[in-house]
Amino acid sequence: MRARYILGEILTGLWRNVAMVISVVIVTAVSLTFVGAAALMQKQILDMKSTLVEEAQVTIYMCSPHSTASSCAGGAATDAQIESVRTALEGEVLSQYVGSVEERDQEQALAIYQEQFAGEGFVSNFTAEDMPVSFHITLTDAEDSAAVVEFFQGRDGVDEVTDLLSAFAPFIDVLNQSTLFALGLAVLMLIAAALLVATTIRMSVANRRREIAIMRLVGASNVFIRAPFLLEGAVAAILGGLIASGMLWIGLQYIVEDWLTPTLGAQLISVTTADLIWAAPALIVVGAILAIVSSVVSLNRYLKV
Amino acid sequence: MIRFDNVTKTYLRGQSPAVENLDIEFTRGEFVFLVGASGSGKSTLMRMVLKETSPSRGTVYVAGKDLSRIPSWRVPTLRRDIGMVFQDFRLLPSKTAYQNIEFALAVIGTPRKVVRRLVPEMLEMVGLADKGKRMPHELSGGEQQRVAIARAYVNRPSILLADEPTGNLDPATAEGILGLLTEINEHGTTVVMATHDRAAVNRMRRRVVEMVGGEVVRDDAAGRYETIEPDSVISGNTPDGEEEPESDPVGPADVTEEELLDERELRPREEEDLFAPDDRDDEQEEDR
Repeated sequence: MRARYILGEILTGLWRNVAMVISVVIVTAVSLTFVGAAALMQKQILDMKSTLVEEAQVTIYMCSPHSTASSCAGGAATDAQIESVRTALEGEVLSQYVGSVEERDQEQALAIYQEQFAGEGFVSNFTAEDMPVSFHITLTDAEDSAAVVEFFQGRDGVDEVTDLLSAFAPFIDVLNQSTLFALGLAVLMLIAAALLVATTIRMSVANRRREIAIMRLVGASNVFIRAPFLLEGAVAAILGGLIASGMLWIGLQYIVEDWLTPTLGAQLISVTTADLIWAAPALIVVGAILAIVSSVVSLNRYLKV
Repeated sequence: MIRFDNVTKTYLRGQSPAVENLDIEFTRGEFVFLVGASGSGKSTLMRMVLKETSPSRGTVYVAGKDLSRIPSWRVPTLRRDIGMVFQDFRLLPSKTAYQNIEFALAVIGTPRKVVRRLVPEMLEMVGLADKGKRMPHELSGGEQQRVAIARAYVNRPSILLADEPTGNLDPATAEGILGLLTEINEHGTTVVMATHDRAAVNRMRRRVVEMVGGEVVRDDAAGRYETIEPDSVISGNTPDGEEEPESDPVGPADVTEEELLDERELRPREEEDLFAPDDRDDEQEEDR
């Protein structure tokens, strides 16, 4: 009896305020889409950082016969120059920063090169002699990369020192800024959604004034009087969450998986539609909590028992 | 059953109290008429019994319990034992007579089976067994009030409060309503009825409590509507600023059937606020 009665009340309540309910659903959907996008971007940043940290963060390329840098004026790096880098990495000054070092000789470099450009005609023109020796360094703390880069940059026989983190810094910056932007919009929209829910509840309470008066008079419990309003808001917000998940799926499917991932490489772009498995329920829960909180607040204002 | 222990109620600080130093007891099974001009504190008294509003001073006891000690979440339980009937009926216009009574049971979680048994029983008792499917606007004023009484009594409360239940009805219809209240009283329910219905009070010869300006000025065991007491407003001995002293021996002016149908819209301002969702005055009062 109770359950069926409350269900009926929710349905009639939703139907009576259908225009308001639709606007609540849309506003919640848009705001939750922004929240979801922000969450996915942050996940992407974290993934990227951890991938970069796992792999070598700083790479030192010794001069090859083809290097054009001024420090390579003497042609390919000599064994002595390579040896000096090797000892410097193991030396007292740098060893505190360096976690591990992997040295890649010319043969290995060639193998990787051939693998990367497999099928291209020019690959067969190169021999191991054309390839540079390189040191792939994992730092104990990724933040210290600048010191290591500084140390080797411009040394005789060193062609180039790359710092992966700083190479990707602009990309991470863009993602971080977009996250802030999305969260800012999301907060604005969520405020609008909360106020809309409050207004809807207020109208709904006004519509049902007589019923509420009688319910209070005959001793219906507080929970029983409020439940239909709370659930009404929650249903609208959950619908909003579902729509937001749908929009995120479209975005992930068509923008990320069909365009970004092939363009930038699957190694870099880790976010996929599979992430909706955790994102969608989280969004729905956030929406429901938001709606219930604003319902409770407005019910306390407009519905005294 | 209901006891007021030196109760004073002031709605707004600085204003004269709605009820002052009220010391009165209604015992189990009693039938009490509350008489007095509008604004003399009758409605405030009823609101305090329902814990719609709390006294500024003093204590109200209902069924032996101090109302100020009942936590707000227990208030619904208190109200389930009190029925309330109004001058303007307050039926839900979108529900039939049957559904209006059913509503009072459904919202307190009564099982469907019990509802199916109780509602026809109540319709039968108030003499509307064949009109359960009528909407309120298809019923006369008297019939609407019968439905309202059925709704108030369907939970078999031990107290029934009636605030001018015959105020909108012609004398003949009012008599029927009074008969119904008497029947309920005979089943053991305490009935407290605020009224301006002189004929009814004089005919019934029950306990009469007269209030003037928030104070009880008369409490007669088997009283009449007016007395020769100098303080009595309705006897015409004291000027009354609120309304004309009733000199019409017939009672309320004749009301035609058409007018009765529209009475639902005509809510006296005092009652208007009684169960409004936001009782601003109350809030301030209770926050103090």
